[in-house]
Amino acid sequence: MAYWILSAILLLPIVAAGIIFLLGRWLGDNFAKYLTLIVSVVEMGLSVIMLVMYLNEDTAGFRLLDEIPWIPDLGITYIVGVDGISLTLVILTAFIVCMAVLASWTMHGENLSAYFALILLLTTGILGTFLFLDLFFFFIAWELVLVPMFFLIGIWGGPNRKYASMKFFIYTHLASVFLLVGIFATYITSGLNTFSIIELAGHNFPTDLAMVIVFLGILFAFIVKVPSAPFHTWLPDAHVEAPSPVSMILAGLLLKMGGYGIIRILLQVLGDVFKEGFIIPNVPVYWLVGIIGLISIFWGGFVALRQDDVKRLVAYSSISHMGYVLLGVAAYVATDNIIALQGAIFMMIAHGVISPAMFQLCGMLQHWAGTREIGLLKGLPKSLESTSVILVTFSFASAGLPGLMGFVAEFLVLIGVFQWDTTLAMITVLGIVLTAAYYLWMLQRVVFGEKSEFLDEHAKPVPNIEYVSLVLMFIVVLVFGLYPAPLLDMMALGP
Amino acid sequence: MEELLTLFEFWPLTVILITVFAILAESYLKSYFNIKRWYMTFTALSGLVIAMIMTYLPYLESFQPIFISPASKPGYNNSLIVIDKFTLFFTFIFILAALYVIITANHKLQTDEDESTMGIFYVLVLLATCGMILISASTDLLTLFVTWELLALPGYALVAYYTREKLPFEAAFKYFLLGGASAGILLFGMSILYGFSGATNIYLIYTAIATQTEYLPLLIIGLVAIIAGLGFEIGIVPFHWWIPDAYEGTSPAVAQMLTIGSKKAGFSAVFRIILIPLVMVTSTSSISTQMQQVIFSAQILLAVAAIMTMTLGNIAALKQKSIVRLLAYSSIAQAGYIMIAVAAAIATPDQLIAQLSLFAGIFHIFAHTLMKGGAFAIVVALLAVGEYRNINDLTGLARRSKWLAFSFSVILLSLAGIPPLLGFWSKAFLFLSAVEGNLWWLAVIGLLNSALSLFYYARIIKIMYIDTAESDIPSTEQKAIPRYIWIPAGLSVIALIVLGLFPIIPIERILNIAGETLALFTAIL
Repeated sequence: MAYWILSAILLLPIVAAGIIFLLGRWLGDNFAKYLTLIVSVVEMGLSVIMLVMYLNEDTAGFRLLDEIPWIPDLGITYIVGVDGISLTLVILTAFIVCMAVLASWTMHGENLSAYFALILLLTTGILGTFLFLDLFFFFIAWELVLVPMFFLIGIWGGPNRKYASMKFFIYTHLASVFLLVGIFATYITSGLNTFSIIELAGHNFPTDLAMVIVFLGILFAFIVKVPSAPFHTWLPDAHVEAPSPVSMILAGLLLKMGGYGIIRILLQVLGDVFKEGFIIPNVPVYWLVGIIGLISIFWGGFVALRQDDVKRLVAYSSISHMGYVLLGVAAYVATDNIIALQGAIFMMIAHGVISPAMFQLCGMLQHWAGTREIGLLKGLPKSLESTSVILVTFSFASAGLPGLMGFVAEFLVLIGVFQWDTTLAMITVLGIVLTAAYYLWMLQRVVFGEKSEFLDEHAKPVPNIEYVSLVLMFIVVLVFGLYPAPLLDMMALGP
Repeated sequence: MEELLTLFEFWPLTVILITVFAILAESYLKSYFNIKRWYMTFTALSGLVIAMIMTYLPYLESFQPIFISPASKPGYNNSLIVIDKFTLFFTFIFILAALYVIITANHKLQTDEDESTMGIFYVLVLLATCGMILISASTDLLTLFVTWELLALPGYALVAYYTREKLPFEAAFKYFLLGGASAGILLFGMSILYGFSGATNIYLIYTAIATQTEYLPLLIIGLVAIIAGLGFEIGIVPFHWWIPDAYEGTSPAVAQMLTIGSKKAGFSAVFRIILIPLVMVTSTSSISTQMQQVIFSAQILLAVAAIMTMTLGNIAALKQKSIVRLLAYSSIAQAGYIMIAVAAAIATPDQLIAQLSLFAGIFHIFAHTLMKGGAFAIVVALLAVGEYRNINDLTGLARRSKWLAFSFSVILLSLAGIPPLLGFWSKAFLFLSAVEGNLWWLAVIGLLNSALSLFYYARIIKIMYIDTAESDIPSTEQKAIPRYIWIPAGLSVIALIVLGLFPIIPIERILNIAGETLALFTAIL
């Protein structure tokens, strides 16, 4: 039985983007704005319908499948389907894109209809990576994301946007090249003449050195996307120069593509290599993944400590948080305890909601406080009261305050790591302390200092529309922080 | 009767020849009947369109390949040309290229051409097209040589066409000298192959070579000489030196013809003379071990040529500021990618991998024709609009000419291999065939090169969309884009997007062609 819902969610944004692109000149920027908002709300509605349909069906494995042979001779098929993991990510995507559109409401700049068209195109690309169950199509969606992001950063971004957009484009494209080779190698090694993830996942791959090298190639592509140290250097520039709504999508969704790729392709398809492969004798592959994750946590954290710009600080905290995802996945492979994997995925969702909120706040600071520099933002509550409250709340959420989503994620990952190796767990706990450190220090300087003169001159009142998305995001963070069970159950249905 | 039927199967060529004579007649009679240039353009275009339709006729019924041999010695063993699906598809590509060239050339012909030579341009292009078609059909070395010259001589004249300017003359001279020398080397290689078999027909030659055990180093020299001779036209390193100067020195339409016409004809010759027969040789059961070593060396040689070509093309393009020179080096790099297919095809005795490699090569040739055809049309548009020759002249083009910038961006992204455009699919299959043929290192280098190329393609897009200059030229100071340029440019853009979304359309056809052509060769022997 072929389901229409996934193709609809996937194709609606790109069709709307086409309409805006072709008719934008005549219909004006406002038309583009409202159409994009309507489309993103419709997408959220469709994702809820998708959730209901998913829960009603009872098959094991992937549900809501739709399959169209695309190039049969070469084993390339258009397959879309979801399991628990991709379902939560799709809902997250629809939600965050809507929030980003709301955050773009007060944007200035020329040719805004093109801006909204590109955001819609980006949505299709991101949804494609989560929905496509064919490696070729997965790659197409993966690369498709790069082009709109290049233009969004390059045209509407900050002062150093030309460098940042080129760096982002070239760096991530170079990494994707290894993904393509890895996909080809996987296709050929399996001998099944198909690119379908469903069929390849059931195949037992050899775990010799050749396959490990293939694995490392694909891992490289995902590590650059996640991003993990030391291949993270595109992120701070891209984030800082991108306009805030674009940063929201970049941090909330693009980074999750990397984590999802690791889980779907490296864990499900090449799981044999992940579990049993050795890089050098006595060092299993999953140790490499775990160590890279751990390094990211600390590298991101320490560099965040040094930042003067709030947005740069949040960018490095993204690197740090995504390190937990890698650590969780590695712990799952090491111990087979599903809790570790649930923690990793929950961290993706948690960070996927908290981080866009933080970036929106950075944008608000930029526009309505006049600066993002921590030194100049002293005594923020005197000028921007509500914004300060929300800043404190989300900073604590990101730092892992119990009761909010971040804590659940970190806790579950920690359980998994503890079961794997107690030393690693103790080092990870120090990482949590580090996270709290840089957030608290930032808050101390920004919120609890003396009122700064800069703010006196430059602060402007914040329009109410900005708060809509922030409140919605906070509700999500609070509800699932207090009652994470429904989400966790969804992830338990995974691999 | 049979000869007439044969002519019917190859109507495309006949139609083009008729068109040539028609234009010559018009040119001769122009003073008597007051014939304007656009009559001749119309004649040329309609002739080409009819010829293109003719390439599909054989597909209506069941189609058997037709070997054309002298009446005294019939059969494939003595054939001079063969009309099979391979020939017809390449004919389609060459006619498409000729259409692109004729429409693109209109701008310069309108402004710069001499009254007295009106129409000669079209005749030269059409004759060159005939040469290309026959090259792709040749099954005999001497036929190949003759048709090679049929392509080359009008080519030399076309490069030098606007003799009032100094630069075309220098470009044509380089092309001519190197072309003459390469033809000589090609002939030398052919003579060696003749020495091995006593025949010039490729079937006879390779049947003899397959079981050869002595004098094999001489065979390698022969093959290298042939690759050198053909490599000149294709533009592989180190025979590529004429390309940037020739492309820049001549008018963009002729550069377009060189890159989408002559280069592709060279590749069709490589496929016919080197790739397909060597695939047959590798799968022969009675092949000697020494011969296997020769094939292995040939494969390494081709792979190294591919690597050098890709790398040099891409690295040199990084430094280019002139748009046409950048496209010239980009063409060199793209030729390198196609050479990967040639290397991969003869790597293993597996017929399926050979089919995949040949398919990938032909597919990329098709895609590249569309891409560079559109690119050079846009070059002409850029010259018409404001004499933009340098990439820095394009600053802020997106604001002044939205659709021109968009078309150029689509073509550049497709050249870089960004999904979901057609260029991605053709490149992906090239690298897939390399990995299948166990040449994974070649695929990795190829993909790294592809990522490298993104830098100079994206830089142009960045300049058009993101850069702003203090002295931004206001759009009112630009001249209008010639309307007809949108035919080739728009066709390319639409084809790249639509075929990129639904690649099964060309893939099915080309995969079938590759399979049948290989099967035909191996079945005969």
